Amino acid sequence: MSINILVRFTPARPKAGEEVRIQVVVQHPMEPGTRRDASGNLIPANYINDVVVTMDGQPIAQVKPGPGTSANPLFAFKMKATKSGQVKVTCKDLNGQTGERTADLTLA
Amino acid sequence: MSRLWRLAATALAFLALLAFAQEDDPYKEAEKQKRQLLEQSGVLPSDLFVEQGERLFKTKRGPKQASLEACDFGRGPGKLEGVVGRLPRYFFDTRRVEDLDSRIRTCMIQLQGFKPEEIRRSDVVAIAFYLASLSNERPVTVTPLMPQERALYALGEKLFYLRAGPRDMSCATCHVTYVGRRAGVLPYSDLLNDKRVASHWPAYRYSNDQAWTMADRIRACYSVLGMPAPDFYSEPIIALTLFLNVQARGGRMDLPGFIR
Repeated sequence: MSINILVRFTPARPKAGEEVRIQVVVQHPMEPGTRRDASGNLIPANYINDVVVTMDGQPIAQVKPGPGTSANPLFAFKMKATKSGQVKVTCKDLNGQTGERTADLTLA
Repeated sequence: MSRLWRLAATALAFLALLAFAQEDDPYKEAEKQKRQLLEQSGVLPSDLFVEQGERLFKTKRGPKQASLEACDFGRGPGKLEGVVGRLPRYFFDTRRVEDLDSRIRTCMIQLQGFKPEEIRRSDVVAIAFYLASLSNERPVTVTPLMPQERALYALGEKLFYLRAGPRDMSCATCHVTYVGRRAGVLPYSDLLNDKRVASHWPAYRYSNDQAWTMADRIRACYSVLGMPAPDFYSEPIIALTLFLNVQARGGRMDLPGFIR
């Protein structure tokens, strides 16, 4: 199954020109590659190393998280809401697994 | 100088008392934590489990490549609203009384063709969270009417009051005799009189980032008593769940729960 992503806007329906926060939570164990299992073997690193946010195809933000990022990380981006559109979040982890989520931003 | 110290000590003691008073009501404290988390991130961790559960529920999976949408939780196939408050109950197809967890497992075996040992506990918990989100604010109506349900209710009641194990304790020792007092951080909940207690499972525990169903809670209680915990989906777990949910009858479900 692909990586589970949740996207929320705060405020949910901003006025034109208002600042809106795009909040993204990704469900992922974010294994740093330094932890050991019960028998002492290293658990191989597997964390999300690329998060891309676009709106109507236009890039808004790109994040390259490292091994120190928490499990189920939250990413929040502030931007000025000028028009309605579709926000798309894609992410990729070290195992090559990907996730994608779209959410419609509508102005009040 | 010594007077200054005494003043400082008094002030510190007063502050400690204030901090203690703030944590007095665990429900208010949980409410505050939930509000703060929503302000900060806009997403509750339980939302993730609900989302994961919805995907697991609706995707065609398993050897039979079927979704769980035809699963009967007691209101007919595919009817999911409010089912959590009606479980555990007797099911004619399996001829067993089943709770939420074991019914999800039954459907994964019957509809999707999974072998019992292939079923991951984390999947069952996520699906339980999804179903819980569809039962929020619904009443708890579980009533033992069938003879099998009555028998299991009697077993649950017996287990609740049975003193056993290295500490010679029962569930009732903490949850009846010592209600309101505490050994850890939280006061013991009043399982027989407070309808909120049994009506917030499955719940997310913010203190240690865990998603728990009632079965996890009961198993943890057994380990606190120094006894081996009953297996998941086993009769003692379902019996105790039935007993506790009947105590919460008439209450309103707060799901998925958000607790310490």
